[in-house]
Amino acid sequence: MGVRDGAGDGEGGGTADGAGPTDDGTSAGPTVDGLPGGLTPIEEQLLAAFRSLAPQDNLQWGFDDAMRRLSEPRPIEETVGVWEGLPPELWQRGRAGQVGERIAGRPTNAVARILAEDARRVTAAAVEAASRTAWDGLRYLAARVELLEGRAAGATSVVRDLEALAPVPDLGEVTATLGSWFRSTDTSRPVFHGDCGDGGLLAALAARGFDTDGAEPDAATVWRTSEAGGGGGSGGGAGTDGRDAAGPSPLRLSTTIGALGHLEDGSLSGVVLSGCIDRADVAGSLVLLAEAVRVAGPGATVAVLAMDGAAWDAGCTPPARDLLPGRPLHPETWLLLLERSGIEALEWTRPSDGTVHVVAGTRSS
Amino acid sequence: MTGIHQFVPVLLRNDAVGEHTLAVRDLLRRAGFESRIYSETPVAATRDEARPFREYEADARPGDVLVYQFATRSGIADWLLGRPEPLVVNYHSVTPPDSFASWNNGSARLQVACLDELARLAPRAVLGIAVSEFDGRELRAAGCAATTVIPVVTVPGDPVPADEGFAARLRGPWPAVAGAGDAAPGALWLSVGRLAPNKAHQDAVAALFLERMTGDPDARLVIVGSVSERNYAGALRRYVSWLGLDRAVRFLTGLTAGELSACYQAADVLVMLSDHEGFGVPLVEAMHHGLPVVAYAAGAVPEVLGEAGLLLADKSPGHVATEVHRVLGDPELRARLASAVPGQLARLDVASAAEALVGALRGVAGARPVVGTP
Repeated sequence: MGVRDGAGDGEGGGTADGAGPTDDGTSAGPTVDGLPGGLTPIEEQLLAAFRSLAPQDNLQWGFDDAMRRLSEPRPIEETVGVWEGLPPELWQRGRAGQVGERIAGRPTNAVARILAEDARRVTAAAVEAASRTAWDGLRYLAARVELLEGRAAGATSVVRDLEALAPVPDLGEVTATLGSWFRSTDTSRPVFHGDCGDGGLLAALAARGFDTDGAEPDAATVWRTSEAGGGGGSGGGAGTDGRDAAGPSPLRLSTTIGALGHLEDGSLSGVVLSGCIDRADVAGSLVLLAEAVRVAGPGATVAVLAMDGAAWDAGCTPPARDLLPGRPLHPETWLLLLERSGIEALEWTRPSDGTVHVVAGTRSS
Repeated sequence: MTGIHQFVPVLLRNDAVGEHTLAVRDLLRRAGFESRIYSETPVAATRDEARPFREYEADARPGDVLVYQFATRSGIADWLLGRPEPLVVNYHSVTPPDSFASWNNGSARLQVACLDELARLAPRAVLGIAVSEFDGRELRAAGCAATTVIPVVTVPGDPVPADEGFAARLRGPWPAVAGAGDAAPGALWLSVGRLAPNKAHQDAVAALFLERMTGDPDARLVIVGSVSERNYAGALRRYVSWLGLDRAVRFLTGLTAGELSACYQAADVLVMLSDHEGFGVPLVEAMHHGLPVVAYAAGAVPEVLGEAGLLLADKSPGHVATEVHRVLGDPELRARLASAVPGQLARLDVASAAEALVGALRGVAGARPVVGTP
């Protein structure tokens, strides 16, 4: 994107033109204007990547509003509706002279009123207590979630750092043999590749007429691919995690799970997973697979490109081998998991160079 | 003896408002006033410095002036509204609620309540003291008729001597993670401010990423600041990891004055990209240390920095990277910025802020309270 091209033309330090956004007549100096044309795709990706880390993301005030409504119990009159099944003249019947003329009539009425008031108070208190209990429960739950998130963030920050040391699968061979395992012919829907690296596989798919969409979590790879004009996609234009990007951008700076989460059910004609499924723990791999199957439409190819265990071990540093949460599952395991997930016509393509296995099949109709 | 007493929600050490409050009390006492501090939330570290605010009711004397150090929401505000003494609001800026909305709704709600309190207190103040024109406008907009601008009194008039050993460690190669080799010592960027959303440290991180990709592959960033919003701080660290910058970004907190000075001394540039600044103390500190500044022109930054730094109207990561690169690679530009520093520091006149503050409060002593509808 050439951030050096067309650098801010203001001189700064007293010679640039343009006033700052808070021009107030004080001693503020001149400001340096930005580049014309707004953010570049890679800038959009970088900023969106940070926004995606916000715990409440775009929910903004929604959750808060819900909690506040819950925390403010409404008066009993609003929460308990009046039963309309009473005969309309009941009140008049109750006021019949003979009742009031009895000796016990007035005290009975007084006691009845007191009891009714008490019943009202007790009911209101009970409703309020129930609401408060629910509120306290939610607050407790929120505190627990926050605590666990905090712990998870601390723990994953260590692992995240080490993930960079995990071996990256070389997809050269599987890309070259694409025709033997990618069987979707429906080009009306796009194909998604999670952990797509430099987008070589997507380029091959694009050459076959597919719209493509790739997610790559490594920012430097996205940058280099973007600079090289690569990625092979048709330019889905999606930002990080599927949100608003300004211009066409073949690759998203995003985790695979984050990108899948923003895709519609059955919206793809192919889903290819690589990289992330080698590093994830078993639970993570299962979630990734479930998401892949969810977004795959009927007849779509679902493919797992799994590193060979021996190749993984050979390429892994000892700290990464010890500390990464997962290692590649065996191809036989992927066959089982894909079959149980409703993927049919499964085939396992063994690599000639012994590095990456392809386990692929078709989403049942 | 006239009493000028201060009220603060919580009196903290090593906190801008807390240290300011303590400094003001000492200044007032030296000027011959009786001066005590009252707070709402007791803190062990300042137990002997502040008293529960309701105890003032027994201490009150005719002619007293009450100064409220307004920084956050507290029960003191409503209580002050019911007091007959003249009220001074020393305003320390309220971060816009939107800054916190996606990070912590509790904090965002607090800021909303804070603005509401300001709207009720400001019209009752006989004097509003703001640390910048920017804050002064907010005070006036809230209904404070008489407003004066006096910088924070705790900003040092001269730089604190740097911890030379600390500075040398920052300038040298940083130890690598997981035995991957030392990080080469490239240009050192500095970003100073609490780890809170409005400080926008992430924009400096994104710019650093692009600078390393396009200009200086060894550029590094030191972020100095305590955790103010935990969710934001956690995300910032994850962002640094995500962009593969663990070896190029350092987080420092709890520094001594000498260590902070060392940061300014060791750095090549201060990058301040806050979305909201009521004053921007790091700008003054950087000027004291002769450190070039590249800053986003938000809040009070333009008036505090003047022409002594590069003001950006747009802080897109590529633009920031380009301008930082330009400042670092252009000695003439740096010299031009440096030549504007003495004049700007003189304009800010932080050295006489204490005197100005005491003078302003002296002028209020004996004033009649503003009576209004709470």
